[in-house]
Amino acid sequence: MRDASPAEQRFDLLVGSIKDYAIFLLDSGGHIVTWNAGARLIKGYEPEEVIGKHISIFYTPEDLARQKPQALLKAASTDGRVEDIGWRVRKDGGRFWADVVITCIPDHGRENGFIKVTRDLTLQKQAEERLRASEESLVATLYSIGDGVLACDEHARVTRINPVAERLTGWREREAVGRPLTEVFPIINEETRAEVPNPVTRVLAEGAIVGLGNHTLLVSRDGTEHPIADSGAPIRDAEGTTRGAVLVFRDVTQERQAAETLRQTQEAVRRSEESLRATLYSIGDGVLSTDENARVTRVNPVAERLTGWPEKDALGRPIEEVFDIFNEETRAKAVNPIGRVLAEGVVVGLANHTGLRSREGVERPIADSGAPILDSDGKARGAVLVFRDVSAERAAEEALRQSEERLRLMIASVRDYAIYRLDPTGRVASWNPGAERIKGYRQEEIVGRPFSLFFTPEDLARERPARELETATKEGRFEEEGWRVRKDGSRFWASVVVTPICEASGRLVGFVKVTRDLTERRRSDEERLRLAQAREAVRLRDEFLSIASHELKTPLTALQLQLLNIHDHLGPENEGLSRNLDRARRLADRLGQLVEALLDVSRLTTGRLKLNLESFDLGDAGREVIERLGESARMVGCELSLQVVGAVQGRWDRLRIEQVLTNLISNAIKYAAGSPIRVSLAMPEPNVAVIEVYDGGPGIPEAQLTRIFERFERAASARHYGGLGLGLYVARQIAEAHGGSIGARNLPSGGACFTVRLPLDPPPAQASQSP
Amino acid sequence: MRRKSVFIVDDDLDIREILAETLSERGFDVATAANGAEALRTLRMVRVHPSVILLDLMMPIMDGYTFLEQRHLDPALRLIPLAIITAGHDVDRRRLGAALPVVPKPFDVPLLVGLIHSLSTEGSDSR
Repeated sequence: MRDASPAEQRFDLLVGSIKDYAIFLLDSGGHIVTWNAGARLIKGYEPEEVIGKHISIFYTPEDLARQKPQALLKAASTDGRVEDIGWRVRKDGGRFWADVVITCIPDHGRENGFIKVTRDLTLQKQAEERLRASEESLVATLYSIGDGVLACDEHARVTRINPVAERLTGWREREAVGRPLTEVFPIINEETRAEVPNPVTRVLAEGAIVGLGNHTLLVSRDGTEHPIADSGAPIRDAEGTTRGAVLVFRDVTQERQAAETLRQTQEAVRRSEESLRATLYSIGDGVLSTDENARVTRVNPVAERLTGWPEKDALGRPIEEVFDIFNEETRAKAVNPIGRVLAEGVVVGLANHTGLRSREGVERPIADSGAPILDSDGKARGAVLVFRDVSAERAAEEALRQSEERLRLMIASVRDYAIYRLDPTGRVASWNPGAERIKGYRQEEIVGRPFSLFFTPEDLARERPARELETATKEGRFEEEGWRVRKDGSRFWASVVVTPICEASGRLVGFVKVTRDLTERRRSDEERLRLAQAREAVRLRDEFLSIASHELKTPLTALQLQLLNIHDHLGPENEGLSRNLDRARRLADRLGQLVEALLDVSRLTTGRLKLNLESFDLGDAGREVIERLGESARMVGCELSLQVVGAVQGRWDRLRIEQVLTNLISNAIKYAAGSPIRVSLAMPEPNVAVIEVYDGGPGIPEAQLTRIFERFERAASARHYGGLGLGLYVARQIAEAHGGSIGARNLPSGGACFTVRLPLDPPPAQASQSP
Repeated sequence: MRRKSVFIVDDDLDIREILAETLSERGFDVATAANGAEALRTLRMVRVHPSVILLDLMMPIMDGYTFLEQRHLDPALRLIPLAIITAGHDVDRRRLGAALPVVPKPFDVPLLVGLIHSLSTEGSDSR
């Protein structure tokens, strides 16, 4: 909506404040459109009485009979301007002598309007009347009136001249009296510069009042020229005989200037109108304006398109006809805002969901507002409607709504993530199935409650919930992993992302929080970590064992060699010393075996046990081991026997298999001292060799049966039995490296039996074993 | 018949001295070096090469593996019979080759002596 331009406002003020002239606009038909203060004073009509009326109301019945108003308008249209002096009629029926100028306002391609300026000349007219009535009264007033007055006798010789006339003509009265009027009052035509016949000549000849023609210049005695308006009247004696004439004239320079100002003002108005039109017709919204009767006065091209009414068809029609609006929902005719605009003089917006039905019946959603056109008195002179087609906006809104709906449905179907909204204070505003699944609250029991419910007491004490929102607001995002609490009080490891939601204006309207339950992942991460740590610990221990073994073996080697050398040098005379030396050598051997056992364990667990497979008979290996351990067994009172069932030929690592036998028999010697030990080697089923070692010892506690093959495990206390408890572990590793197995059981008759099962040909994968 | 000679390469002083004494008493001439580099210097200085080299693997300055590579590049040294003596449990057979005998520490002295005799005889035969 657009207010009147400053130029228009100035013009309105100017015109409105002129009281000496009636100035008003006429439409092409001669109807009055505007009314100023001067018009009110001169003609006596109030604006509301006169606007819309035809100018003929100002004319006398005689003039109307001659169709003078129409003639004047026609002349103005043709010549651009017409001037007329004559009687006009006031509202009260009184007549006044008027000087009327009608100027045509061209309107490109359309019908013209007019501006009419009327001056009340009654005073002058009355002065003439008085002159005619009484020379005496003329003389009395002659010297005081504001116009120039010049009187002459019947011979056209100057008899009187008043001060104004003295100034305009340049002649002093005493110099002028007696001179021919034509000498004192020489006049020429302004345009042709030819001498103009003096009106007094006509007055004297005809005894009638004579007016001067337009564009008359008075040439004063010093040569200055004054544009003048004048009239001449006869002076009659009591008998009615013309005794002389009187000329009344005035300098119209100022009037000319006023007329020029008026013309310029009219031009400014015209230009202002043009710029208004240009603006109106080029803006992107539809614009309709009406007069105070709600009749259409303008329709811009956009409005033409939307209403389907070309401006020329719409002009003068009631606004309801051109601007046909309805409620989109009820389809009822909507109340046209123009009525209120005009009645109340206020700006009125359209209700939502208003549709515009065009002349062709096309319906469009529109948004609009109406505003009054106010005159200087604050009265509504018309209204302007500005409106636009909101179809595209509506479609965009609908698309957005659908997109939101899809998003909402999507969120509602997500079960792996808790996705919910918080209001700016941190209260839960929405809830999805994922949130219900992860946190345990149903939507109806959580919406509206603070999200701090999900935090642990420790986090609450540290005011974490508030800090979370604060960070999200400040940095546009908050992200962390941490413990959160479910409805049932259990904790879960959550990945949390909080994002603030802001309006386009930047105002915070809430937050979106996405939470994932990572408890399982964290658990498996921890598991993995523990496993890796355990593996690393084992690796470090094995490395330590390996280095320790190596470092132990070097001095042990030197020690053994040294003991051997001493032994070699002892003669038979040193028998006692020799016994001591033998004991030292046995202790060194035991140390060597312990170190070897440590080394075996280290090899097995660091995956460096490599099998050197060869074909051999298990019986041969068994006999060799029995022979080597026979002495040790005898020393603790064990009878060691071997039973070989047939030939047990296979591909194994001979040294390792001998180690298995050694370890199992050594174990029996250690635990079953004083009872017989029986070793059996057989092939009870195809492709599997079975080693069994029976002892008559105390047996193995049931709880220990599976554990004894672990590292550093033993069924008895370390103080009671020596060794590192590695023998069975090593035996198991070797058996398994061959693709076999090892087991132990207690015998019903007392004692224990260890069984090793070995495939005759280990599968290739077992040839180099991994831990 | 000339006495057989053994060249002991081991970084451990005790092992060097005591093994030297043990083998001397069993009729061998013995020389020693504390690492691979020292061994190479000595071998390139002497006019008569030892009958057998006993080589430790884990030594500072130059270890046994590197010594073996250098020996292999030198035609004069390549043919000297050699056995590995090691306390380590981890012998890299790829770098040693399959043929080299390995004697673990602590030593089984009769086995070691037998090995030295058989290696030196082979070496003599191949010359």
